[in-house]
Amino acid sequence: MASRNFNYTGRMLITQECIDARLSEIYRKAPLLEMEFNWNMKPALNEIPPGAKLFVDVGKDMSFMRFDYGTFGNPVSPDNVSLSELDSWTSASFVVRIVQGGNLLAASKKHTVSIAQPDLKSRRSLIIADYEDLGERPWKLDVYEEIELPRLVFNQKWWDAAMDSSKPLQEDSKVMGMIMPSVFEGMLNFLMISMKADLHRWYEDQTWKGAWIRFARSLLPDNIPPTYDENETDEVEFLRDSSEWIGNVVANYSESKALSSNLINIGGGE
Amino acid sequence: MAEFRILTDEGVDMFRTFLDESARSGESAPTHLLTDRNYSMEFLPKVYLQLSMRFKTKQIFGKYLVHVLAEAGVTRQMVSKNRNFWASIVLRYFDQFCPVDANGRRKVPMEKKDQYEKYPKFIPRYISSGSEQSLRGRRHYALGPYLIYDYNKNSEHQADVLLSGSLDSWGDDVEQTAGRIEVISNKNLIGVIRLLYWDEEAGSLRRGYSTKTRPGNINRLVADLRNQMKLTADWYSMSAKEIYDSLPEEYDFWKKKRGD
Repeated sequence: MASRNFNYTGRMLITQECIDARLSEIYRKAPLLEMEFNWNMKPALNEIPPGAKLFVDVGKDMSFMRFDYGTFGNPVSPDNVSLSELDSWTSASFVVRIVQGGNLLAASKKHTVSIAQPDLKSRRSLIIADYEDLGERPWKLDVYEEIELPRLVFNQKWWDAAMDSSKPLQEDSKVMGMIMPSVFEGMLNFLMISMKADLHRWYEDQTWKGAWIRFARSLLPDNIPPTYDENETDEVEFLRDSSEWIGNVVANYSESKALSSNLINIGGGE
Repeated sequence: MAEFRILTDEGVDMFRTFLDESARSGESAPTHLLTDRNYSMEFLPKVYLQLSMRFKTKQIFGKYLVHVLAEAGVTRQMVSKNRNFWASIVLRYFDQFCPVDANGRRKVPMEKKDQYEKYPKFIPRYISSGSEQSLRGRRHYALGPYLIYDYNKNSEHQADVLLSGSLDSWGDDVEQTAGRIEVISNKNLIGVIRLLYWDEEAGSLRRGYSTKTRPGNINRLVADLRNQMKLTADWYSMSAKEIYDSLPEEYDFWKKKRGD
């Protein structure tokens, strides 16, 4: 049964638009979490006393750091914003809290920032690039229903080598041209087949799921995606129709980007 | 002092086989695996452990490990996700984590229903969030105390309450606490736990502090109540006494025991 949560605590929500956060990579050291605040993006927050304390709580797995940003009326970045205590140096989750006398006056939702995705101003992003030790596997797609944003995870050895040659993988058109069709296919497989998401209903969704669905449908506007109804849909038929629809979307995506032609032009066929 | 080596995956499998087949009958732990090149490997930066160390409490153990690793230049980030490292630590001091009783047998706690790791107190269980893997420290005999101590090493009492008791004593309270980063990283909350449940005179935890049917028990404090309170209060910026004073009536039973 669907449920809704109501906020009866009087605590205000610090919306995403009020926060500009980025993770700056420092070679072989913990990244820096740089934050700026613009309370004017949510005028209701101006009811908060200027002297209320402003904190940013950052966490990753079993690690946690709190940063004191001074007061709501005069946010000041701490001298040291290095995420030195965090278990991961590639991404972190954070919550902004405004507190007075131990009372929580306002808080943001939990947001995630990544080295590869500094822009938190909007929900335009479809995916973030990240890296991990993947053995000999070059890359993989990391997506599940509750994830904040899907990740394109590169092999750390490959990532480091690319960084050393000043050509980050996610900015390398040859690499991305070869990978993205499979990423797109994997994402749509997840949404349509694993999640059995109703692409019509989810079209308006404001998270990455809706963004991917809108993007996919924009590439194949005249072809309605198949829908799945537990009681009525033939599973085999649905899988076949879905695979066909996904294949057409990915083909149109590749066409729109002229991926193979570009790969040939940049020496991808050597 | 001996150089610390860590088990390979095959070594961890051998350790698990020992737990399965021989540990209960009191057989000696296969510490030779830690020197056998087929089952263990060098750990860098080099760490040297005093094999004869006896740890009276989990706090002493946590303190020793944090100190030794810091001396060697090993940060928490370097080991917090390394399953084999923590399995090796337990194997190194196995008789203290899983002592032989008067009948010559050992009690080997296991999680029969856990399809991924039957012995999470000895071999930390991986948990996955998407492609990210980390370790469930709250059930592990060594990782849990290490994390709790590390987060509280600069506090007045260094989490002495949570880390009281021998290495093989492992209450639900430790699991509930060690599994929540918002608890172990909050020195003020750890201070409240001390104020409520620690009997200073007896030098021990008060009876019933973790009994789930008792109002104001520790599990309620670190789970339900904390989750409820964090919607309106910020326990990180409140002193232990301020949090203590703000607790609801169900904690009066424990406050009275202190004479408050």
